[in-house]
Amino acid sequence: MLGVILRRLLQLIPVLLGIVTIVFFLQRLIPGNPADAVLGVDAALSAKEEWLAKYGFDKPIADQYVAFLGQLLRGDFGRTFANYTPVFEVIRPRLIETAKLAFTAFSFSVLFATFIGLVSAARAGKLADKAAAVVSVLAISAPSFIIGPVLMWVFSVKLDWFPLMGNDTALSYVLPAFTLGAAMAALTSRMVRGGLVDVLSEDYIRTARSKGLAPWKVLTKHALRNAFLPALTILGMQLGVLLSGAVITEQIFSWPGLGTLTVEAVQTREYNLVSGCVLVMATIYVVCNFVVDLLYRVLDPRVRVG
Amino acid sequence: MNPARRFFKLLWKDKWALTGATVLTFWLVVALVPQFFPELQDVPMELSARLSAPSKEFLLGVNDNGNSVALLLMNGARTSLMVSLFTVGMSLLVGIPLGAAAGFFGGWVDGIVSRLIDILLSFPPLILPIAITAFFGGGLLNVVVALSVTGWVSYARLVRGQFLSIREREFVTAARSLGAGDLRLMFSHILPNTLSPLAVQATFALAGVIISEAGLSFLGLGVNQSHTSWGGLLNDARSFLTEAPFLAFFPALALFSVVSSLNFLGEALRLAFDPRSLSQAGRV
Repeated sequence: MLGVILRRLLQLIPVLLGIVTIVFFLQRLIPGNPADAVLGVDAALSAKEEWLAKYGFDKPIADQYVAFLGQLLRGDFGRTFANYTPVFEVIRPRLIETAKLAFTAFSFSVLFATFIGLVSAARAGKLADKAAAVVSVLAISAPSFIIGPVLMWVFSVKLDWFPLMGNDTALSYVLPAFTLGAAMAALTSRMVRGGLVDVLSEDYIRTARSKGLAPWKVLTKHALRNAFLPALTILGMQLGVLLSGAVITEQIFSWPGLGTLTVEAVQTREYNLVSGCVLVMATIYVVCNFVVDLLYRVLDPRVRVG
Repeated sequence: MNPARRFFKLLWKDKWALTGATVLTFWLVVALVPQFFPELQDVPMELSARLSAPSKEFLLGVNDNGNSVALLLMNGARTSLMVSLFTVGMSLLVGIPLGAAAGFFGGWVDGIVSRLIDILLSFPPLILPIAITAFFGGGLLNVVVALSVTGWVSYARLVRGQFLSIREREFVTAARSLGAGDLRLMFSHILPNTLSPLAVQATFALAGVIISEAGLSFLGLGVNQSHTSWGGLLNDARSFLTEAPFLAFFPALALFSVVSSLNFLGEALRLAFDPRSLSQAGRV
């Protein structure tokens, strides 16, 4: 197992290097002088030169690239343009907020998906199953910038149950978490249902039933564990998406996370900060997929190691 | 039965796909109207009618700038159509030759293309287009380029896989022994066999591109400056959810109707091209 982990870790290196290279060159390819974009075209030439030297933009591109890699290895994402703060110091508190939202959405999705999946499988072909199927398709088709405003209008504007924006109270987590997790819950519930329906025709389930176990116990104790395995991959990949891709949901609810930070950085032309946010999101995504891959191998010994 | 006939037969039987096709035809016509009547591309401002609800005069209401929502939606449809067609076209133009070369030649060509695909797939969805439009600015061309940079990957993967399996088949060996060159083998003999899954993938991709473009515009990184976008309209509507919820309702409905129609149609297309899944779905 250790060998597999090491081999997988080694495979991560070229991928991460590729991500860093793309982000670096994208930022350096911005048309025109970066000092013009930040200080304005009319700024004094000496001020521009000083600014370029301060951020290392005056060096040849190859030197800048090597310096950038060296910085990243030390955990340094560069400095912001506005007040020369280390980029990661700006990112850290926002990352924590995004993580809180992502884990709330994740937990809600898993609970919801398991419940709906169990009910659909137990009532396969009946009204409850069909209703769950239709709702799932709707939830998967509707992007967050449709679900979000609809939820806001119903539960904040009309019913006044939850706050419209921000993250001040526990209640303010409900709508963003629901928006973020709806598609994932729908997708996972279909997978749990499918897995359960397959498993329920297996011999060991018939054995469990014939020894007189209550139906819900057969479902939750015997069937669910095996049925959940296919859903695990989806869940793991989705956790990466939740942690890294909550940009739109955060924007809808003005959630002070990494996503809104990215948008703010774009609006204020804080290009180092944009690069830092993108790198952090991509790294989290890659690491999540890596962990899921390993976890899948641990949980299901049938999966070929390689 | 050939796939085209099977598709139309399925379409006729499947009420969801038929509804989808009807809805898409409607939006296609709506999107083409401003193309033929350019005066409709400039939506007039009626400040006196700001935020008025849907009425006989303004069918879908008026936004906070005094623009008719119906006209904005019409121009938004045109933008969605342009961005989705250009992006899918550009992605196909890049993805097919790269995937074909990787699958046909294997070796280092495959190595390079596959690594590139791995790296591009390591970015969370929409993050690379966000970075590109963040650095280079929005606008129609930049949005199309940003979405194509990640868009070609799915076609390349598909074509590569198909080429890998087809290149060993007898008819390819036969054509080679008759003296066909690499390019001829790739594009005249193998490629036509990959067209059906490509068509299905492209249909689903149209829906994905429309959502992504709307997402970028929602964040203020899309085509906002020069073109009207449904995503941009949704973003503007957020501030008026209390007093004018219809401003969010109509663009949301438009997006949702187009995206789910494309998904239903893509599913019908998939069943038409793959009769095996047809019998699995119990639809024969």
